Amino acid sequence: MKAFYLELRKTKTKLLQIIAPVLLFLLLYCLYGYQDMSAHDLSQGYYRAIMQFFLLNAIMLPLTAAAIASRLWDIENKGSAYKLLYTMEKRTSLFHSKLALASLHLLLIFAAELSYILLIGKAMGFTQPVPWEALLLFAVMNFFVTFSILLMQMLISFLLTNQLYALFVGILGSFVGLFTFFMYSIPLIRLLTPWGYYSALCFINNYYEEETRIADFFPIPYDFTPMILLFSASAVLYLAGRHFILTKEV
Amino acid sequence: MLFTCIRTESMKLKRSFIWICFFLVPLIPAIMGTYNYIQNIDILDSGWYSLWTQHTLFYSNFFYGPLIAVYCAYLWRVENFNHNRNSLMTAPVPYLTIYLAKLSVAGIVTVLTQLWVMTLFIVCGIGAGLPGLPPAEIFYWLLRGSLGALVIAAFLMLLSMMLKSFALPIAIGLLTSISGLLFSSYDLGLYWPFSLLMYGMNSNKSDNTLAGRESAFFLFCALYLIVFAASGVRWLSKKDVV
Repeated sequence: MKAFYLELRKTKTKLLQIIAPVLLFLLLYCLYGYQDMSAHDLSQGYYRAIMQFFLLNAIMLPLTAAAIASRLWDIENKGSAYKLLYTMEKRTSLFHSKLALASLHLLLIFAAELSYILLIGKAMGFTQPVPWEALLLFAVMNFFVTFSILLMQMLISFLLTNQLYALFVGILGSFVGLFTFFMYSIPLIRLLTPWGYYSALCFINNYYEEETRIADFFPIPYDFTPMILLFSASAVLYLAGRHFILTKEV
Repeated sequence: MLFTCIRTESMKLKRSFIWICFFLVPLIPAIMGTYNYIQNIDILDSGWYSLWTQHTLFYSNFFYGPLIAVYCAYLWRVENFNHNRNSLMTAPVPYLTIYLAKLSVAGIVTVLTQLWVMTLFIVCGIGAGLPGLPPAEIFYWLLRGSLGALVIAAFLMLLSMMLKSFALPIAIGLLTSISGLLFSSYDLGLYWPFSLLMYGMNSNKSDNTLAGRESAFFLFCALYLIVFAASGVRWLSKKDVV
């Protein structure tokens, strides 16, 4: 706990500075993106919002996670402070406290996203009953995907002191995340890259009829295989991170 | 003096990692765009123009902004270490020259990126079996897009200087790109600095989006470029270094 407070004091509000523009942008998107909805749109409002937030997360969160991870290791990297830190606190507690702090910020993002969806639902008068299960699943799935990406980014930021590498991977991730939503013919990309899991786990689909220009959003059966793969990958990443932190020579 | 400073700034980019970003980031939308084009060749029947829509769809809408942010943030990153900014500000060089040199270098790399994008576009087009070379109009769109990119570079340069962070301007670069997409979807992009790049590049369009509005486009580009650059110089001259 002490290590967590220390991290909190070290980063001050730096992580909030990263997520605040993201949350502000999402809020603006909700304010402008859900105007002039037809009765048909309102009857599927929540499903539409969930699918759009899956896509928005695939674009924005890989880079946000990279920026968070980079910021978390920034002080230690810049000041070469590992030697000093490791004499005062356990190596694992340094890693865990950073991970806990980053996870807390991720939770904040998804709590805000859920509130935005519910708020626009109320404000725009969605006629669809609130799909609590789908909303909860949306938040949980997105949290785990982003958490896995964060684990990987933390590892990169820790091992490579030049933060350009980590942020480059973040940009690449946003790219891949976005493309996986459109590349249905190459399903393997979704499962082989951590950023592809936003689309692999997206349980809402849509059908766009060109003649009437009406889009239908509907849920598809949950497929938990990607979730199991993701859990396994996260466990490997966690163990690798722990190993590198314990064994890195300072 | 300005040219000497530009040369000095360029030296900071020598053997830097930004060149890997420079080569790899545009490569991905080029491959993906061409793949998408080949998959939908029955619907996309306007040849080079159709390929252009696929190449620019995601590149200019989402990823060119963060890439420019990497260039700008990197140029200020060096100054943020070891109190280098103090040395920079005490050098016998006017603030205006320091800032303009950094902005020029970011601008040069930005324009070079456009050339690389064009090279990839031609290679992918030939690889996809398109006849001849792209129409001259597409080259013009690319040049016009470079002007829009310079506006974004001017803004991100200002931000990178103010925030003294490497990660934050890049994240904001992505958000500004998405905001540009939103404004252009409401046809307000001409007045929003971050949509000018998309308008200039004629992103995801095979007909000229700016037909009849080109003078307004150039006017707004010049206006935003001057505003952002002037704000940067003023901030640099007024803000004390700590």
